Amino acid sequence: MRIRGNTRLLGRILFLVVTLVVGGVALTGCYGKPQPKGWSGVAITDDTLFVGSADGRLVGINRSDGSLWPDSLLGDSTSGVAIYGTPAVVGDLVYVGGYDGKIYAIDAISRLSRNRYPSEGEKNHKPIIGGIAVSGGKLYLGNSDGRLYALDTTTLNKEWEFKAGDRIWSTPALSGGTLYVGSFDKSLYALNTADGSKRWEFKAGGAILATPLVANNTVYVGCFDRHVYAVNADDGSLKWRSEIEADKWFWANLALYNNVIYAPCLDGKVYLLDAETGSEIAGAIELGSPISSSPVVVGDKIILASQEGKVYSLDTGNYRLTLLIDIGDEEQKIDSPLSTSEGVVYIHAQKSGEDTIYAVDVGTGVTQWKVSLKK
Amino acid sequence: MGALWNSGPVALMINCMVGLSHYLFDNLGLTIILLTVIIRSAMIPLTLKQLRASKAMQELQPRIAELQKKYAKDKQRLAEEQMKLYKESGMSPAGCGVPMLIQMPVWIALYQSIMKVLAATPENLLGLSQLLWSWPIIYSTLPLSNHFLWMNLNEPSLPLAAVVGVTMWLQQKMVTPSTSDPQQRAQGQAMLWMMPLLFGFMATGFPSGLALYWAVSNVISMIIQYFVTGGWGGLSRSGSTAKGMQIVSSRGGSSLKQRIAQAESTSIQTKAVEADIVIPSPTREKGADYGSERKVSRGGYTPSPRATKRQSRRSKSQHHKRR
Repeated sequence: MRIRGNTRLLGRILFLVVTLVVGGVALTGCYGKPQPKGWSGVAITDDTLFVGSADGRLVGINRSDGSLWPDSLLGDSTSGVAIYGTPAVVGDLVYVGGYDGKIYAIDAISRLSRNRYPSEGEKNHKPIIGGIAVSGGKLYLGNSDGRLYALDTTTLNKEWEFKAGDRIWSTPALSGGTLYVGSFDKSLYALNTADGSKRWEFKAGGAILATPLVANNTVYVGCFDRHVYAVNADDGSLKWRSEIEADKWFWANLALYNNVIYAPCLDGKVYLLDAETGSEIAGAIELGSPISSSPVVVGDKIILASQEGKVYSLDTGNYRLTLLIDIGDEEQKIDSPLSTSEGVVYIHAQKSGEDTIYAVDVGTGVTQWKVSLKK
Repeated sequence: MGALWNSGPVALMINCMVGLSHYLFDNLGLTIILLTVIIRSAMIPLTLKQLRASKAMQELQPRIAELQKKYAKDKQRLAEEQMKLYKESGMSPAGCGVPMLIQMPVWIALYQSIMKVLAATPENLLGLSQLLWSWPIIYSTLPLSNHFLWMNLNEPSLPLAAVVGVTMWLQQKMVTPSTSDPQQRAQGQAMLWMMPLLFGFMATGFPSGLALYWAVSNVISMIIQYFVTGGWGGLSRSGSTAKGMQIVSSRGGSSLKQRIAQAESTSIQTKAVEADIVIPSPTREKGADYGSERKVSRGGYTPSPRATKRQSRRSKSQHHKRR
């Protein structure tokens, strides 16, 4: 009788424990601990592409036929780091910022890590989301700790840092001796590349995640307040703020061609603005799903990708869209920025943690090759 | 279904949260605290119903245990007697579960909204943009600053995880009845430790914004519990059930075991003695003489918490008259 009672008690406790565990897992599993995947753009060299994969590796791809390098440059199938920014390549060195807050310099020939910042034993920084800008022996990148770092390209020693009011996810843009970068603190900064001193600061109405576009002595940038801004590159004074107010944030970079700003938005539209005045020169072009991928200019075409996996070529003469490739049928999403070289656009598409790189000829719309990064 | 859920309750909560944070100095921590308070307050009628039902159920436990003992070999009879007991006491076994089930979607929506608004990863922030309403206030406020006190709300905080564990333990301790039944005691002990350990452990890996919600929610539960039961329950040494037991023994009544044996030897109709064992807490705290008063006036099973409360008031007036 006693044994029976104990068994029943044990059974009840077991049931309780299982219920709690299953309940906890169900509750948290519905929306569990966030896992960063990364959406790195593709860095292009003469014969190789470098890109971060969803399983946290930095991989090399032969540009001619899309064959993968046998070994990853960073990370392996069991341990990796999410990569959001497009890698930068200088000579044989590939630089990449990771979600772990580290900046890696990897030798593309030996495939060995040459340097790292912060170095071994130093406290790690916050996640790096933006890409790297390289110029004059320095590389520049923002961090989620609200700082912009300038590092020596050879040693990865810190040259200077600039502290903004909040996270910097924007990739810095370089023009002359000035660095332009946006921040979550709703400001656009112009910094002196030599020492990081602030030249000017422009206060916008919302956070700035996109890379500023510098042309005609003007800095153009889309903002979370759903407007596009044009700021004087010399003094940071406002040239214009777009009259249009989009339905969602401006997340992707802007494109400029023939004095027209092409502003892709998360509301699924591309707004066409006069670069001089900011007024709308034609009705917005509907792509059907959010546009988080930054466009590229190829000849007189603007190549745009919608999140649902459709890549379009927009004719800048008549503003007509032509579908280049639709990978939405395969349930692949495009959040990564597009890259281009010699008339070919490289698309990094993702589906449930698996990614595929497509090389598509813009002129013919033919897919030259596609390769899965899955190991 | 998932899209409907996200664009409905989750989007509603997200936009309320972002709008609220605009008036709370863009402080996400304060927003989480206030929204949790608002939603818990709105849920008070259901919470009270659930608490009262589970309290009444706890009070029936000794009688159910007796029935289980008595009809151990006759399952059908046991079920009949249990149903009869529930009917007589005016309560339903589903009384505890149904209000909780109704509240569950709200908790889950709140939980998911907090996770989404925290936007711990770039993917989360990108996904969040699709759930926002086109109000200028929403767009100018986002993304929210994730700093609150010493914490980054996007990252786990060990001190806050400890607070989650401790507050949950305190809350569990308040609702754990003191009982002489070893089975019930073991179950109570398991609950007392499992929940705080589970949630404390989860809080070490989740963004601290979520842990903040759990901690605030625990504190609110404790406050509600305090006012419903009129005390600290299991946290105070003289917990309500223990108090009831002391009352009985101070009257020179028989021990629990003796009374169970007595109960087994009598029919259901003559169970007036058992009414001494478990008396709903509002009556228990009256004093030592109340049990006998109740026995004279009614006897038998506790009719229902509500009925007991009514009786309690009547008894109080009689008590005053006697004075």
